[in-house]
Amino acid sequence: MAGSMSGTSSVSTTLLRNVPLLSVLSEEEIALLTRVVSRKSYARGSLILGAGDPTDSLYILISGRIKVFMSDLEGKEVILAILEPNEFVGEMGLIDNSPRSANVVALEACELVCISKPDFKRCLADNFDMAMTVMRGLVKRLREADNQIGSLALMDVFGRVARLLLETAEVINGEKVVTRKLSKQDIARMIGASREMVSRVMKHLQSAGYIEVRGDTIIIRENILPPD
Amino acid sequence: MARPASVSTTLLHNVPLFAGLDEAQLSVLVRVIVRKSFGRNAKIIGAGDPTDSLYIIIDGRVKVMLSDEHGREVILSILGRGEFFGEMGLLDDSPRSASVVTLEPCELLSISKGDFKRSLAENFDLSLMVMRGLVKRLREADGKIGSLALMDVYGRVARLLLEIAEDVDGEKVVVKKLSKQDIAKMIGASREMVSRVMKDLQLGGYIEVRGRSIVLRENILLAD
Repeated sequence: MAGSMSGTSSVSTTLLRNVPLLSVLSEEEIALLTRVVSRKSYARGSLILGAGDPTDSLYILISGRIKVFMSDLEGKEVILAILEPNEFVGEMGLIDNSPRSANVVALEACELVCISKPDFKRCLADNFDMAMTVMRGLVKRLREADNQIGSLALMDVFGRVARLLLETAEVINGEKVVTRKLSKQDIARMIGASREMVSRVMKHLQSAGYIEVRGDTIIIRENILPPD
Repeated sequence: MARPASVSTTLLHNVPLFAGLDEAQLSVLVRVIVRKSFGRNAKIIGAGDPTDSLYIIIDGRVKVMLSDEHGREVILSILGRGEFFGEMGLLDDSPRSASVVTLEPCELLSISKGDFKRSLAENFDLSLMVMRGLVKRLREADGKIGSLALMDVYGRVARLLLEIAEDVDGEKVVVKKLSKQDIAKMIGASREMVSRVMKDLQLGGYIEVRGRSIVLRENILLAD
């Protein structure tokens, strides 16, 4: 899980313009950023940020998926978030100057754009809309974290799996469908349960008709919460 | 339970959230901020309520909590003097996600959504303070998720005590009064289990109870 296989390449104005976080910046600011940001590639499984590292940059995901997680001394993991393209990570340390609190690992081959602390802070100070985007991003993560705490403290594993599926699902043709690839191991680490328990719960939800598995996707029935 | 009172710039000067603002900016805020008193156990915000205000604590403590349909509670955080709440809904326009209830009599300042957003747009320092507040809460929430998913009740009690302890004369001391019931609700365990764990920690020499405060020993994180 070392940070090997990473490469750096140049960045175009079009690439930055298409990132929602940066879309509010002026032409001049975007042009300035293209000269100071770097684009990095990571292979599947490589460590992008490690807990305890000093904080020097903000990372914006251009392609691929990354997981943000904590682990204990025995290597047991809990996944705090799985991020998709256009989401960003690393802003917390830039705002409060603390070291990284979690690890970030590439779930598949990834490309990230990396902005240094001073460049990020200057953009933020000059653009209220960007500050608002960062604040809304923090609020979204805090709401998800609060829900995760609620389900860890109050729900059994059935409830936690059901809540996670509902949270991950998109509405397609009037049906709630989970299209994001999520392994049972990932689900287990997101809800603080064992992989075996998640397998058993998913099998039960399927045989009781709460979910239907169609190829790589999962269709969720109306009555899934509360199944217990 | 609430009665409004007047607000001075001196009072606002002492609010950390407004630390970056100058006299002129504070004098604008003085006209739009309202001061309210609440008794113990008063509900300030209910989950599902529409969001209309940001609140800043001048005195007293509040608990931020979620509950399920059976009335079981989990406390997300306990906030005290100088801290603020209610900003999440003002930023993302969603209804309140949690309830906020006073733990003791409280003095609060409140500012309406419109006035708050205007101040934010005009003062980058205020935005930065709000971001720092959100990051602090997010780090605490992530820590709590880690301990709920990875630790047993011993580890969770130890982590919570370390988190709320203050340095007093070189010792880590928990001075804030926290009932066993509140601790239970903060770590997702029963009150009975928390009692048993606290007793074990005391017998094992990991903590020492002195009157109303708890002194933590160096080795507390090895407790489990």
